[in-house]
Amino acid sequence: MFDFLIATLPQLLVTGVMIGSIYALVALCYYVVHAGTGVINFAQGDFVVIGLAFTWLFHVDLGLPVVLSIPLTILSTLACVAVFERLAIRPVSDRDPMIPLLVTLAGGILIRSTVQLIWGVRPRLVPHYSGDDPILLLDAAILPQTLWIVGGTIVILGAVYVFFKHTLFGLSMLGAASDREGARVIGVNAGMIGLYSFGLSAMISGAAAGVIAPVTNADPQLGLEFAIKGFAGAIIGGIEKPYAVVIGGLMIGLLEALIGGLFSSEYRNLFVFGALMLTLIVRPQGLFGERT
Amino acid sequence: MSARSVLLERGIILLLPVMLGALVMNSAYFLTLLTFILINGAIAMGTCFCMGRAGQITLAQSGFVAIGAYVAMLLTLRFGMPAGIGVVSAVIVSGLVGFALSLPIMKLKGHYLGLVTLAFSLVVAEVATHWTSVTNGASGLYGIKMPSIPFLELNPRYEFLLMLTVYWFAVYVVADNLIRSRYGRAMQALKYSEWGAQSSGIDITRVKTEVFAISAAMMGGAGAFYAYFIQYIGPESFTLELSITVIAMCILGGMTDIRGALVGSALVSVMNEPLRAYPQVQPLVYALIIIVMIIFLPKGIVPSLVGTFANRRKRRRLAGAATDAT
Repeated sequence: MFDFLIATLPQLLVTGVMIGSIYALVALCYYVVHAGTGVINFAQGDFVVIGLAFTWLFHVDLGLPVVLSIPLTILSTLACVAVFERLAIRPVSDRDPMIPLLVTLAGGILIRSTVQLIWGVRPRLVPHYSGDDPILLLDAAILPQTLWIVGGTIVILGAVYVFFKHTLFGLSMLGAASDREGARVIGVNAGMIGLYSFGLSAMISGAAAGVIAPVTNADPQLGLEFAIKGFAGAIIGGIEKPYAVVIGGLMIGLLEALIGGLFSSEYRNLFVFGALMLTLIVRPQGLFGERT
Repeated sequence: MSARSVLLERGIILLLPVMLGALVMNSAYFLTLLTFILINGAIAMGTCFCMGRAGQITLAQSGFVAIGAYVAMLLTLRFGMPAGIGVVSAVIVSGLVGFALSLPIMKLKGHYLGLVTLAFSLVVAEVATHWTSVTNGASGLYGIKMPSIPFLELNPRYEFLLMLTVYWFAVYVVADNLIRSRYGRAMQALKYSEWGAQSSGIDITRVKTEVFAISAAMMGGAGAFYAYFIQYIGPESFTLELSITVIAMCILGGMTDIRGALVGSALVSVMNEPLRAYPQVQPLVYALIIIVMIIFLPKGIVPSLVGTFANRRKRRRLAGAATDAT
């Protein structure tokens, strides 16, 4: 058992970090929308699905190179989400918190079903960007796509950091996050904050979809899986802090890979759910959250 | 509302499925449709009770329905238990699971609760798929007979409808009585302000766990009837789509009124009939119902109607008072 663990551990860690990067980005989207609007966005996983569908469209169907297909994916996802936010979220944003939640839930299903109606139920294949020859490091075989995903995640995280620390939009969003009423008083446009938050989360989702599409393929069914795992990451880390949700997402990915490698991947959702429940019982504010 | 009008209303509600079922006694199609309206109605009432009245979001419908269905199916299939015991056990087991699930998530509000209950439903489906020694995995369980009432020689589907009506009506009466009682006012207080409820001496943790367990039990019993009626269950019978459909029913009929669940379940089940040929479009339609209703008729059909009638009565009374004065 121990030898087996030593032998497979590097490979599992690599897989875990790769999957974890995806969950970390989804968790970050939860943070962004929650910070800006107070809503937990149930359609979050489906934002990534929009991105996956557009990546397939631009990169495979239209044959555009990656440097073009990823920015186009980000913009298209942003456009779809902006329309959704203006038409469905904005009209209900002042109502009882249950209402926007139900709208995002229904919106997610709307997105998933629409993608399925247009592109069919079966996943569309997207080829790896830099070939299939693995790079050997220690005992782990790393596919070049893994580097795309991890690198892409780092770039996205850096961009989000700069956005929050050095732009007026980002700072006003942080302000709205810490005190929504107060931000309104000092002249932050509360109506636009919703659009910015959803827009930013759409851009992160689109960029994430752009780098993960070759691994996951354009599968509309994945939305729910991303939504649940990313949420578990956000809660386990602590949804009040951006770095906490990212670490939480990474931990979920690692947990999933380790469970899959050491026991069986059949029950990985059960373990993630168990970890989520355990966190809620022992430390409801999240591992890095502060007790309020 | 006076005691007599409550009794009258309940009598009408109880007689509706019995009479309608007798009218279409010879049509398997319409009896099946009625049966689904009642099964969906019971799940919708559980949802309405938890979400609409106590403000606790739940997406665990498919999970609890699945637990109820599997419990009933296994008891009858493996141990030859009669359907009555199957239904009662399904209610108890689902209620207990609901209670156990509610304990760790009591500290959660609104949004978190929604996603945790959603994750719970997925885990139930996963266990049903992979615990093959008990659930027979993806191939599902089958091989029971539809229960019937002894000594009654009617259409077996109608007999089943009668038994289901008893359960459905019991769920309605329990929910309605709780809502009208002191307990219902505690739920209402919980919905509008947890702090407010707490400061008026309501044990909110207890109310939350109990509401959650009761609604889970209601859904579990509906699951048992589903299993006995279809005589086949598998993990794919209980997906997120079930929860969404039921929520669409509640929102259409009116989340804050338990009768809204009845109206909504009837409307959506009937509307579902032409859609059955296009399973791809079904979720799209339910999602659109939810969004359009929330934006344009947020209260739902029943509370909006009740409000209109109450206003008209009030206006008439005021007009009467004005003519008396002159």
